[in-house]
Amino acid sequence: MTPSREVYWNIEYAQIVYILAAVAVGFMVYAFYRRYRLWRLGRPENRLDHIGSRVKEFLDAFVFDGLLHRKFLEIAPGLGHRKSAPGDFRAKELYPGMAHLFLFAGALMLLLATFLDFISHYFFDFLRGGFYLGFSAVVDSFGILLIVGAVMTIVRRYKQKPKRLDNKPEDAIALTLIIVVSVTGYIVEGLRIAATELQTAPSWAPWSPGGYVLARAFSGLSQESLLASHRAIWWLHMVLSIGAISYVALYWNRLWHILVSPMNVFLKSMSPKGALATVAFEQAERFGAGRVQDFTWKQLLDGDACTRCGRCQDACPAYASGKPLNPKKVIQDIKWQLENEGPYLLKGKTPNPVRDMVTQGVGEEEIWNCTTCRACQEACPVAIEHVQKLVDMRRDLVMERAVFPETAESALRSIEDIGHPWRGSALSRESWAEALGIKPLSDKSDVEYLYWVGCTSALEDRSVKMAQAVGKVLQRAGISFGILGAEESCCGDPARRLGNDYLFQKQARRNIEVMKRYGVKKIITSCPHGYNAIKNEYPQFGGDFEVIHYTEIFARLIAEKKLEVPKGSMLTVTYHDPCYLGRYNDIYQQPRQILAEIPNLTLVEMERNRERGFCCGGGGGHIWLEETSGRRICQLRVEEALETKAQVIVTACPWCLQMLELGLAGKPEEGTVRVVDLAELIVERF
Amino acid sequence: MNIIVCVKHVLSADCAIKVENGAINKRGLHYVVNPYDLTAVEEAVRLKESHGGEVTVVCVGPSEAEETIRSCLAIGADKGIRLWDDAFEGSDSYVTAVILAQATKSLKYDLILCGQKAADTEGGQTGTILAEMLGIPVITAGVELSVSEGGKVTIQRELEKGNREVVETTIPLLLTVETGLSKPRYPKLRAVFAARKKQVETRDMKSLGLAPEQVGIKGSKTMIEALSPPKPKLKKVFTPSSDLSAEERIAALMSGGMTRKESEFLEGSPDSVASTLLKFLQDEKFLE
Repeated sequence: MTPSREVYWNIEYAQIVYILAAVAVGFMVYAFYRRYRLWRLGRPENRLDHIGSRVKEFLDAFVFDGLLHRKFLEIAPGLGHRKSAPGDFRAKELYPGMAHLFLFAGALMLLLATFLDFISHYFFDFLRGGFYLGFSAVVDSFGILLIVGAVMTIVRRYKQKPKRLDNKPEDAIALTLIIVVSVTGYIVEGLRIAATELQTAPSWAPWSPGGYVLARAFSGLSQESLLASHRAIWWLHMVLSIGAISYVALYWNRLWHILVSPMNVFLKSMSPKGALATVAFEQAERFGAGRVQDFTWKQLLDGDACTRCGRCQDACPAYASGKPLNPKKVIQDIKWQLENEGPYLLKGKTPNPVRDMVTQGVGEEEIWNCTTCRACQEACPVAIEHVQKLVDMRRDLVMERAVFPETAESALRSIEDIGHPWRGSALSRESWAEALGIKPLSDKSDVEYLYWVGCTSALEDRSVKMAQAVGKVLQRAGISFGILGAEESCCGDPARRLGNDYLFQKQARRNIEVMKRYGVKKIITSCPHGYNAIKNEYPQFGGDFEVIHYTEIFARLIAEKKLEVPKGSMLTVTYHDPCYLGRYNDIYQQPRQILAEIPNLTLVEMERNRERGFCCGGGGGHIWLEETSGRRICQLRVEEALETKAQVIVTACPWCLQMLELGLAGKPEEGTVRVVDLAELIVERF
Repeated sequence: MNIIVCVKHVLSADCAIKVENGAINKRGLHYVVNPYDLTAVEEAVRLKESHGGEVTVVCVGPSEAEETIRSCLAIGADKGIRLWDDAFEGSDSYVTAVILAQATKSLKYDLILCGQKAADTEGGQTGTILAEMLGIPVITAGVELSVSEGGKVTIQRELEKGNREVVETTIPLLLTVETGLSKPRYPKLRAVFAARKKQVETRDMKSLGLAPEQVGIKGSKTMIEALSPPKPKLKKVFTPSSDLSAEERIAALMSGGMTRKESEFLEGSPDSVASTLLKFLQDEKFLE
């Protein structure tokens, strides 16, 4: 006698299960179609572009983030980037990651086993003998993991209650269904083993550990009651499983994320991370998203991919500083809008109840709280795109309604009127360069590089030193470069991120035209915001230049021995990653390489660095906005920097520089700790 | 109520302006709507929104000045007229008023609003001269304006040292406004697009019925002799006497060490006010 699996043992009319299963599949298809119609209320958007790299990146995410749970455990953050934090293999999300891994692996294994069983039963009988016993042991253990995962999740949700999780009935229902269905499955197995194997081949029974334990408990029952209970519980298990699937399908339970979240990862944006979508003013009916149907279908899909795990909430600097914005809630508010207005919109009716998505749903203050630091998107395990949505709603507030904070208005007006946001500056764009003899292209255009200075480094008193430091280093390394001087105008980043895409496009087109007129090919920037705009957004308007940040060229010059930083006094520094350099453009290594090459200098990392770096509070136009509630983000960051006991806080962005100095002001360390730009740190040693 | 607003296309004062060889170096400078005039347009649009009628902006300036007119149309003005002829180059406040008077004479209006002054030249003359030429009353430096149904107008004027004066009059009227009167709205993008499509009427010297000797430098009553950047004002730091109590010291610090100057308001008919003023000037030896 060889061990094998006897399908439908002790069960009559078992084929009814196939009919029930077909009904459940029908419900799933129907529910998915209904949802699909809701998503289709959104505007069109092509998310099957770059199909080759899309498939490749999806497979990478499937293997590493799905099967191996890299992202869920937060071993290395970021879908698809593993290289930037070498040697750091600490799992930042060990407990929730493991709980999910158990649920995931258990469910996947049971599904796979059922499939293999089906093949073996109807087509090719391979599940027998020693192989079957091994198979049984593996599947049975994974099933136990499923229950363990569910229990861990229950403990986390209802006992530990971390702040980032909000409990809704659907969570409890999903967990109950998982536990009830799997436990009844083990009872069925236990009854069968008690009625058969325990008596006929007791050495096989332990190969189904879960069922074996229960079988021993049931072994006192009579054979008739074992058979009768087995039949009853078998049918109960079937009805529960198929009932659960039908319920989950029709009520659009959170368990749909099993399908929708991987879909969302597959459909993620393949544009550069730093490129916001362009408003096509000629064709657009509405500028930005004022109503739920103004989002694209993919943006609406995001809401269903969201599992409310709250990692974005944990990562958000606005939330951390006590402001109303919560990125998780933004996604859920948009989902609410779709679920409640969608059915009316599908019938072509005016939605009832009418809730203005922007002002009453998400909330204006929340929309303006965002610094566009992208920490939420980096934290999201399912590739939800929060920043674009918030900017789309800003676009509605600014361009459609013209209702927005006064501080944002004066920054926008300043860019409109005088081409930069620093109204009141007594400097011209050439003042900083005069003493260094750096010439505008209008005087000397046969240079290799254009140094795009940016408004802040050119016009704001403190940041001028940064421009001068960059200029001095480039001169010392013998780089041939010039500036646009008076012909430079705001890169447009603040306008775009404050929601005035029209102004951004005007600035971009104007700057592209000026640079093309001088035949500019290569651009060095010092401000990461200008870097991002010119590198990732100007191509949307035909501006294709080779753009590098000064940290990139400095690192190269040092590596090629064309630039040497002289010895200075011993110094301990910490490095603050500017969001638009790091998270948006993956420049984490170059600044650290430069710091490593400076003699007598020690770098101490802050708790949150690289992909997990914490915003200075200045992005997304926030350097001009008032923080109306909560603590100042810059203070939170400076406090973290001070914990490293570093003497100098180094960064590579004029906005970070200002914000961090602001955060340091008033602290006891104000006189002893300094905030400097990396270029300034180098020039100090010349 | 039909309102005419006179607007000027000016060099933004928010740029670092350099004077080289007796002229302003225009490299890297920007032009904007004169902020005082933009306030006037906003106020006119608000009046239109509550009383009906039409707002027309009139601007003396070359083709670039059309930007200024379109900015005004974007915040709600209905019509724009640009007055220009190459011969107008170099016109001073007086000539500008002459040109504006020629253009507005033929228009129907109840109220003319002008900025109290232009942010570039800070002359503050044009509005007043224009009113004189049109033969309508003028009130200057308005910071609050209300118009009641019968055409009665109540205006709060800004005086020196934070004093205010309330004046009542009737339309037609020319009022010059301070920027405190109202905050110009940020235009919705649709309005900006609509303003771009609107026709802006242009009128030259001939169609205005003016002769070359009446305009430009020839027609002007003043001329620019030299341009120089202003010397920065010395900042006075006031230290209150340490003999004072804390409360008095705080009060002294907050006032910047200034004491209220004695002032007197003259009331009565224009003739009697004028003769009292003349007597004062003679008594104090300001006039011989």
